[in-house]
Amino acid sequence: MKYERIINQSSKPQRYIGEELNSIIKDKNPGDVKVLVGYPDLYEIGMSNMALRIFYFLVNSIEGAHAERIFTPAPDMIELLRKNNYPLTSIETKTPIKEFDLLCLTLQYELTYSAMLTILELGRIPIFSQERSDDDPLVVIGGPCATNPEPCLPFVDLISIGDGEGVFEELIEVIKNCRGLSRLEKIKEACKIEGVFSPLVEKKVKRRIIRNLDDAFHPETTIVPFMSTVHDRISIEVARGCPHGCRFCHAGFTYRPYRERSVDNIIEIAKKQVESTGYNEITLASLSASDYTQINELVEKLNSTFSGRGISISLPSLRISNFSIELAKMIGMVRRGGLTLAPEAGSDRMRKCINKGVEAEDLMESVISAARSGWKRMKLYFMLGLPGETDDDAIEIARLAIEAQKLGKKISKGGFSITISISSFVPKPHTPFQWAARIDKGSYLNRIDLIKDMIRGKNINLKYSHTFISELESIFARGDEKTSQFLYEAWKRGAIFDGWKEYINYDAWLESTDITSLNWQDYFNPVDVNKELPWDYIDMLVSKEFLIKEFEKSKTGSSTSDCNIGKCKICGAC
Amino acid sequence: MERYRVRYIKKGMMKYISHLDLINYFSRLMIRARVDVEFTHGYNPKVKFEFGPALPVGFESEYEYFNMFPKEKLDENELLNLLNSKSLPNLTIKEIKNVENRKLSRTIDGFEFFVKISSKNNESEISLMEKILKKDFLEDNGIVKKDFIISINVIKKGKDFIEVKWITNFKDGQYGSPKVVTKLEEFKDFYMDCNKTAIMWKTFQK
Repeated sequence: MKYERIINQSSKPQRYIGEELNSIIKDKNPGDVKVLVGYPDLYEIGMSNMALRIFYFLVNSIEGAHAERIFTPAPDMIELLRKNNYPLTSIETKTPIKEFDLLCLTLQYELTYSAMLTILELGRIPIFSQERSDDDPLVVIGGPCATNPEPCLPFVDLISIGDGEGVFEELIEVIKNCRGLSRLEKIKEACKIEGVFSPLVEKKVKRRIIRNLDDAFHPETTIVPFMSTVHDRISIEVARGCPHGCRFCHAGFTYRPYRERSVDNIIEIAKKQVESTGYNEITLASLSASDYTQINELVEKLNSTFSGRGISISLPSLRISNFSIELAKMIGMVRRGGLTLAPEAGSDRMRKCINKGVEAEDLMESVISAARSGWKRMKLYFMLGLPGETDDDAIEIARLAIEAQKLGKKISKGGFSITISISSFVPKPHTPFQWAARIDKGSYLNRIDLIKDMIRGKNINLKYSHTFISELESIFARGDEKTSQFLYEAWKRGAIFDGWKEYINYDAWLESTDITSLNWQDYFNPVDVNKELPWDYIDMLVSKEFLIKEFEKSKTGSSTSDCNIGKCKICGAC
Repeated sequence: MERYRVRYIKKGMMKYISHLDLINYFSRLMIRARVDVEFTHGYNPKVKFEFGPALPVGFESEYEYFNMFPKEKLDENELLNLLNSKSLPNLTIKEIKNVENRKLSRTIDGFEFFVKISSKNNESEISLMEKILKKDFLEDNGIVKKDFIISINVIKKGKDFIEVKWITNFKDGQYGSPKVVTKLEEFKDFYMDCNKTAIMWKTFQK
């Protein structure tokens, strides 16, 4: 009752009420392992996440365990909870999160760390793992950012590296078998699980990998939120990993090798998902959907399975070089929004340096395919600040966009709009560019201006990333031990939702800089390849020698061909 | 194309679902239940509905309505059971009837609400709310337009709560909603629980 009064006063109670279609409240038996699966951001962001969707249903399918969700409350709700001295509770049963056995959070983005600390604080779980008692949940993190967990080490008990399917089953067994033991004993036992380690035990781990995706659990239903959320549709993971080795890409190197789900498996999942949700859009989720071996057959089969029922298929950011007219027509069949392509760099030279393997004419071919199939809006993703980039490369971005627009307009005989979306390059761990420098603010803004000058009056939209936010991302992406203190001090002073322009608390981060004497530039400078990196103890299966070789090749614009799955043993992942 | 009028309830936590989100929910319900319904025309076809007036967020209701448009005639009972088999518990469907009237809102004469106002901290004087919850007071102070409210009658009263039956008419898409009281400065120390308990249909049924 009191909680309802609190929710009632918040601006969007729907974030906290639960009871959505397909949400699960299992019968509780004593001895059940209580698991929280969560995403440290707002409900409407976290609900879109694929990992959360998978693990929620995976855990609920295990006998003797159940999963509930947790997100970071919005700022107004954080205030209400504090003012009313009310603890943070789970979405499904509104149980205080402190009462759970496991608090599992997926870290997808560096600037969600502060929101994670807020979940702990509001849940009355001690922020520092060393201060937790046997009654506190074990705090477990996974996801891409866990591959460099240094900024989070003091705050987490267990870290899962690699594919999570399988880990949950084993963690739940550990909890069941260790009832009554101390938390350290549970943690030690959990460290025996492949891919799992704890900063409280030993900093050493090898990535866990599921070789056959058809063997991995995939949910046959999705929770359907009431309120509008990001990716408010069915999402089916058709493949994991990516066969291309774009040198800037963390996902490409940490999810390799590329693995697919079979067409038949996907169709079965799709049928059950549509039946149980009533959604009319299916996203084929993967890093590079158009690389799916049988993409045409898959889309054709999906269209015929659901023919006449108004179900549309969407593909996330498409590979430019194989976006055919045939494919374009098939996904545009029911409903058509905008199309997103990612050239990433403006010039052919830069694209070779980053091993993107796409030429300007490939992009124009894709524009032609799209325009001929009736698409009228296109978004182009680029990065600025890639290693070896010059002002000329930035100008090429504008030229490419202008040419694409001209071509599109000519073919579609009328409206064809282009949006350029630019983010500043952030060097990521476990990639060939983990030793590269981050561009300085002045050069970045200067190159943005060059682009603006060129596209002026041409009716091309331009979006670009915020420098303060990108700089913080860069600090945490390559963060070391010191960054955990930096994070804590800023969070203590009110930093939260740092990836959001409307919430970023500059003062908190600047004050923390003073207190910790953290030198931002240290994290932007290039790194000597012979120096030991803070995340070296995490073995992602791809050898350091391979990464160094790729880094060297980038300096001469030398490309590396796509993965030859099953036939190549060079990088170490296969 | 057939027109069926559906009455559903909106209770418990579902009272926080907004009107637009509810329309989305019912669209998906039709798809889940595989009812062959009409879609709107245009670029982004949607399930065709006619909804009653929006219930304010936070209000419960036993009497919410929409019209749906199956392509063919269906058995009313079977349709009700089918939809409920795919529904959420606090949004159950209570009645379905094949109707002919065009605009749903034109057939509604008024609503009856059960309103309970309680103080947040047991110290605020309920007599203040009692003064406000009067038809004359609300009209004379311009809080509600004249002739919208038919009657407001106190049912029960305590030291820190008051319950009233609030009856309003509905014309030209507007009505005197108890929600207006929550916007007043004097209301800040109180809570309102509101339940739409009856709906008045126009006497002619076409």
